[in-house]
Amino acid sequence: MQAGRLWSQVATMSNTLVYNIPAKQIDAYGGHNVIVRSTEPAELVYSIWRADPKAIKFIQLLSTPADSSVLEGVAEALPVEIVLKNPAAEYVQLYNYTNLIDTHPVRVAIPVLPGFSKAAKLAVSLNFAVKLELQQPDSLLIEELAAVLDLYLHRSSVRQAIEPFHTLLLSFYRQEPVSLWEVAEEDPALLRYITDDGEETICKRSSGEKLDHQLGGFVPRFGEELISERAECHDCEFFNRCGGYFKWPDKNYKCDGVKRLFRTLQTAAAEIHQDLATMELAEVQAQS
Amino acid sequence: MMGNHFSIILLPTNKCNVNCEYCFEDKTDDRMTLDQLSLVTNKVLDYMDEANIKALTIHWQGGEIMTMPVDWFARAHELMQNAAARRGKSIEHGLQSNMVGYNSRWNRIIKEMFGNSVGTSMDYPNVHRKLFNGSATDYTRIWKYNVQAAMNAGIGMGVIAVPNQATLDTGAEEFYSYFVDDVGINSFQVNTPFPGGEQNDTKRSLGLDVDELGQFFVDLTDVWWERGYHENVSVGPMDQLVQTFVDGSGCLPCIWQSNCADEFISIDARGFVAQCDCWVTSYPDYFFGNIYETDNLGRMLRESPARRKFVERPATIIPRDCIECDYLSLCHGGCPVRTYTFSGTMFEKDPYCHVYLAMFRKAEEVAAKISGYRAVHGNGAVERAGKQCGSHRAAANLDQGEAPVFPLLPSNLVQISRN
Repeated sequence: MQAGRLWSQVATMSNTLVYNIPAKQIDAYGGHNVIVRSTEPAELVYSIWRADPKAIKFIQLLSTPADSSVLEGVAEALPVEIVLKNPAAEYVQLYNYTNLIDTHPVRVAIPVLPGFSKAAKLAVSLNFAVKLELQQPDSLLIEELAAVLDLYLHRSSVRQAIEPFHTLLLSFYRQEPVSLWEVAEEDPALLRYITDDGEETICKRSSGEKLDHQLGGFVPRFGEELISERAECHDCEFFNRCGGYFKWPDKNYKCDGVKRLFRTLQTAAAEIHQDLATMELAEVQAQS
Repeated sequence: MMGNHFSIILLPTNKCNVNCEYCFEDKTDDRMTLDQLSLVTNKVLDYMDEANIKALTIHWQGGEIMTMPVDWFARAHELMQNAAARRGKSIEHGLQSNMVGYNSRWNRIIKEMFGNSVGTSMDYPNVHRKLFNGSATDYTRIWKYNVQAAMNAGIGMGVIAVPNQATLDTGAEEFYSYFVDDVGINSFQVNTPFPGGEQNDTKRSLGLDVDELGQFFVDLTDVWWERGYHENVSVGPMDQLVQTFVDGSGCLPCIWQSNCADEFISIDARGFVAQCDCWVTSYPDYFFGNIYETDNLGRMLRESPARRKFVERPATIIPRDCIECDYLSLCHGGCPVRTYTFSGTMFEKDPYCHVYLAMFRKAEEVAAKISGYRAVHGNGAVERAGKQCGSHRAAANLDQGEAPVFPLLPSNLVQISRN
């Protein structure tokens, strides 16, 4: 779970704004904290050479080329995220990246599209951390998400974090709120996404959208808007974790399915508490 | 291509001093000279420089290693260590021998070069391992005498055993008893048989009933759990599977790596390079090339059409049904050579899938007992002296002036563990 912990730290970022930039803009973002993305491993390596290594939070490889060995010997310990576009078709390519783990923490970002569960399963089977890109899943995708959640919670061979499940489970277990926007690395108070055209926006999925207000306050403003509308979020027990994440961009999205996932995580955290209490009691009895 | 560590299964001789009926190697009289070894070492170090690989493990085997002079190894060791030191690399060495040619003259080099441990092989009952006079009984007697002599000299012995029909008929209890009680071994690994190399009647009959074989592994795990677990007896791969389920720290054999093509290559005395010892003497169509002839090992590996097949195997077979398996993370479709020798293609899942499933389920069950017990009583309650993974850690123990807690299962077994 070490890599998962590291990725959780990366996900939490810092108070300093982080820019997710195309590699070709590395020079324009000198002095800023950045996540550098490219479809070309060699271009990522070139960016690493040009930037202050401490300023690069992680690099994103946006394709799955058969040979990425150029990344293996560069900037050891710098986290690498492999971003899948079509997980159902691309997932077997993950076998090409198993050696990266020897020199880098590796996470696979998987869009929740039909068939994504195979990618999630193979990624954790290869010891990669996983970040699911959730958006607004339909009922079929909810079923696939439930299967992946079951894998994460109950298969003893899974030893890597699957986000956002991992952070949400910890949040329920510790009874602390958490921001799903932050876990998804889509909170513009912490992170800005720079499109290939240089436009500054919230995240990949907001590219091209017209955003009228100041980006930094987007999440609390959107949350207040949802609560004031006295719609589904108003009475939702999970709003202090979700923050309206699933109501964007379509406010009419029905959350029944995602609430089921939250509830499963909540129950699992309660079961862990219960199991530990039982075991502690047994331990006391054994000692006496 | 290979991460930050590289392994080579090196056959400095293709010659053997025994005549095992099921051997997958096609023997020749070829031996590597020290000049050839120097050439191999330099080309491997060039490749490590190019690929930014820092550490190398050489798994020495044959043919039969002990048909080579002891002095050859002393000079080979010096030659390789000096060459590696000049490049800022480290090389560790492991030894696999049938022990038939062992005598005390080997003790010094085993200690100095091979971490004072040797991997060997024996079956119970021994049906197929024979001397050139055809006797399995004489083979077993000589092997046992030499193994016990080596252990008396302080050498740690690990044994690979391959079950046959007589093993299944005899049962796990007697099998375990032979190695642990009779021979005095406390570290052995059970491998599944496969008909590699030139075919003969024995190889044609090597296939065992998978249900029966699966049950044998289950029974063996029970025997080990009852009799061996607390005595620090290691029965691979079951003990490592259990450890993997307990805390992920088990060292699983190469048949279950995500892709063996990422882990190692094998080089034989003629300079041929192939995936492992199971291929390098017997399957010319699957040779990656010849290291004596190439001027760049890395390019040879990258451009070899034969190696590409190994690299592409998991991506080809996993989508069929392995992706649905609960134990995908442990197996990845299994072993190419077992698949190839039984099925005629490597692009299918391992024919022992059913056996592996039985092993995984059993290991998971035992791990649950250990985890549950630990949760209630703490780690110390079921602590065993720590078996560590691979030769790196063995060397670390020795560097610190400590004897290993118990003879480590050498990582130079035919089925090697990922470092």
